[in-house]
Amino acid sequence: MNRIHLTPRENWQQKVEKSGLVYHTPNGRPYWDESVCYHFSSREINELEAATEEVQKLCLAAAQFVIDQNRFDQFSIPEAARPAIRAAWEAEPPSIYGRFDFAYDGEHPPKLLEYNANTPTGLLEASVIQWEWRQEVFPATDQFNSIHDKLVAKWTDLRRYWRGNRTVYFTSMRDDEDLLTVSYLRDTAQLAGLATEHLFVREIGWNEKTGTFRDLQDRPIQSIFALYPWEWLLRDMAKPVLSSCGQMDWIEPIWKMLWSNKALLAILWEMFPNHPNLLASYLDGPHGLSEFVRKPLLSREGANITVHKGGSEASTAGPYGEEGFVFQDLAPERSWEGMTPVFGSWYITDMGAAGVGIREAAGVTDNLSRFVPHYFD
Amino acid sequence: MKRSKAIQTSIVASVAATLLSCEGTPPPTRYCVDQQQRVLDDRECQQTTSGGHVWYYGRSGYVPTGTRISGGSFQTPSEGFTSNSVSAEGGTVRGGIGASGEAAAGHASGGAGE
Repeated sequence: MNRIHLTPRENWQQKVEKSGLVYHTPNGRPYWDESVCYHFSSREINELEAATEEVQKLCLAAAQFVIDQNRFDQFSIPEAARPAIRAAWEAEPPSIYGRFDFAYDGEHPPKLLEYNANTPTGLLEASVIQWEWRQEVFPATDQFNSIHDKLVAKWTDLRRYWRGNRTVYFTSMRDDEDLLTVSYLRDTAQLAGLATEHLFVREIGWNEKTGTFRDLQDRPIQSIFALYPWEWLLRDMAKPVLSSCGQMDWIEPIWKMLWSNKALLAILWEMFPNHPNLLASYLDGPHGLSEFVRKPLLSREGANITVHKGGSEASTAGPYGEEGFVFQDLAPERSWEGMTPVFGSWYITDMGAAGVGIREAAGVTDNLSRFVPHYFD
Repeated sequence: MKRSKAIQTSIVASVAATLLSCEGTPPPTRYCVDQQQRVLDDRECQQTTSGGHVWYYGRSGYVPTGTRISGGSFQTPSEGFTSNSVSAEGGTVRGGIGASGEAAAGHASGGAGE
């Protein structure tokens, strides 16, 4: 694995914008950064791919374990949501994707940092923007990236599962990145032959008389992809949302609360201690770890993270932590010029490991970290 | 792992183009307010007997009931508007989902991504 300096393409801003990445330089800070890239060997890519497939299997076992052992308390999941989670886990309603974040130094096995299984973003740049970059800059090489094809294949499966014409709704907050993420997902669904519509979360209607969620034309919603996490859905409208589970498809399904919660990391370590792709993780304290990271069970974008390293601690700000924390061992990491990469490895449901997107940061990987493209040969 | 053809997208490119142009500016939001410009449920303005309750147009996005708002206008905008919370004739209520995300957005990146 090497980190290579490059001269960015001429007019790269216009090129990435044309494909949808308008948030390449938010508030004047670079996010898409093609002045550097990562170069892998086939062995390293195979290792990342195998780790993704392996950890997906571990997570399936972990979710079953949590349900069987009734460990919902450790996830701070409300009592009212548990029957719907159990029912969805058994019924297997549609699910599309998730992104594992791995630490990887090219020498040790990839180590799972967390599983963003509910509302992962960074999708467009991983699937489309870096692919187009590789085609132009390194056309003779390859990239660990079949995200687009696997998404279309998954929607094609779902079109058969739904057996007929139905509109799939995509909803997001009024945020550019979120809107563009669901717009790209709409593209992949439409390529599979599905009809799609977008509405913002505030526009979703609830009809008490019929017990249905409705679109802007007051038509009942049968299937909706919501880039809006389950803990927020439950806080906003628990009763209607829970009553709708099983009556309509919420994508991702409610059982994803078990994977997008960092208590999963402690469950995985309890079930598979010393697994090469896992880091020691505990819910009730650091258990003697001398250097560790404390993460809120539900934090997003690197918020409220405390890193205990070298006898000192550094924290990021944010609104999370009320629900509890996980204490996770520090991963072996390799930095270049002070920048440490995190490997976001995409898993498309039933289709498998689909590709990686790399973000690098000088400290905790957050919404200010940079997305850096890659290739391998 | 290579693909044999170029990725084809249309929606995301179109949305991006809209966001980059001035057309991306969201339309004003319509609020039902009382005489102190405190936000009420929309139903208060949909009933003809609700004296003193009027429509007000601002650019703040969703505002919970009871909040006092300013900086907008009582004039109906010619370019259209979105609703703060709609109680339609059929009993469909909008605006119920979103508050948690907007509260969190005040602290973080503004979106719901992870």
